[in-house]
Amino acid sequence: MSPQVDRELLARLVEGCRRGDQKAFEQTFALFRGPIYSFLARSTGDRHLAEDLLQDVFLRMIDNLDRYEESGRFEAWLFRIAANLVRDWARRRSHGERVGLAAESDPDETRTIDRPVEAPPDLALMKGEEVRRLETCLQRLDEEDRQVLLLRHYGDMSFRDIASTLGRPMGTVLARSHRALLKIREMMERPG
Amino acid sequence: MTCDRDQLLLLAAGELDAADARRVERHAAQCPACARALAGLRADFRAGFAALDRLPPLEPSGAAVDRALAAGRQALARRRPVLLVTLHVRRWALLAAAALALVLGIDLARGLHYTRPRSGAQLDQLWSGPAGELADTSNRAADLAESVAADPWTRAADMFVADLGASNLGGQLLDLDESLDLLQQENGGAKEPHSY
Repeated sequence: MSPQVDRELLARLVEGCRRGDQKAFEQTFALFRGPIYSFLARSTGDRHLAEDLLQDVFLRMIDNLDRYEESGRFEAWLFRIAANLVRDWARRRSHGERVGLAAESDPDETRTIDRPVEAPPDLALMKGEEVRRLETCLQRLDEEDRQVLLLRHYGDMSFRDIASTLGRPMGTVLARSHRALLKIREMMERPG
Repeated sequence: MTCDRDQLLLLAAGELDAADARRVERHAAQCPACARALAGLRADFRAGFAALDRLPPLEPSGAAVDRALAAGRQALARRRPVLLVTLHVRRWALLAAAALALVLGIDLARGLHYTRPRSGAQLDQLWSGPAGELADTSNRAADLAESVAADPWTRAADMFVADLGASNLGGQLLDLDESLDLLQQENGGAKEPHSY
């Protein structure tokens, strides 16, 4: 989930990034790389692709900082960038293109998209089965339903912001969210 | 209020403002069907997101972090010169806009309110009208206008002219001074000495 960040500190970091301060950028990256990466990995189902997209998110952040107006909602803005990148990726994928920078750098690799994200080994040992099932459930959801849940979960975004990010009516987003949560519950309760 | 599932969904998701939330809660308190639906929706949201909480956080590999940081640093370095120029231009644009606003404000005040006074009544009007209007222009002008209204021969006019240099408003005060001379000559009085 999105980290609880001191608003003043965050405003200072954003201002620092605007001025080209590398330390401010590194701190901002350290604060958000985990939630953003989790969102990207679980949205795409591909951890390598998520690493490429993570870099793209922060590059876009730097390029667009002048457009960000301080509103105390920096995380939502950052997650909106991430969501747009996932959407671009999904669009390209649906057109049958190979995706991401890594795809260009390792053309022989055959990517398995929509495979469940593997849990880190220690957690896999502790509660591996439950996590694996959850990951599988997430990947089986409709792509936009999954986006809604993950933006809410990791970006701590209001449904209103999510609706605006995805360009969908608020009622649709809420209904999708509810339907997706019910599907997850149903899949988790199903034996095997 | 009638039964409205969308409103219940909004309430369960925490998306209603306080007033709307109270309105829907009040309805649900009197409508068993909506109360059941609301409780169900709330439970669904709670349980669903609690399930997502059980997913472990993920971290990118060290190599990916290094790559992203290096790319970010490069992007920042590319951005910096442009940014400084932008800030510089912005600062000057802001100053120019402020100066223009000041000049326009002064001209406006002069055009709207100043007429060369020719009688005691006109002078009274000047003190109560334009001096008051000028007071709105800035705090500085307000202080000076008060001083002038209290005693026309104070050094306030000097300060005013010094403040505004060769501006139109300074010229107005010089005109005003000449008008006072004329009036006092007409009335047979002598103006107290002053210097600018």
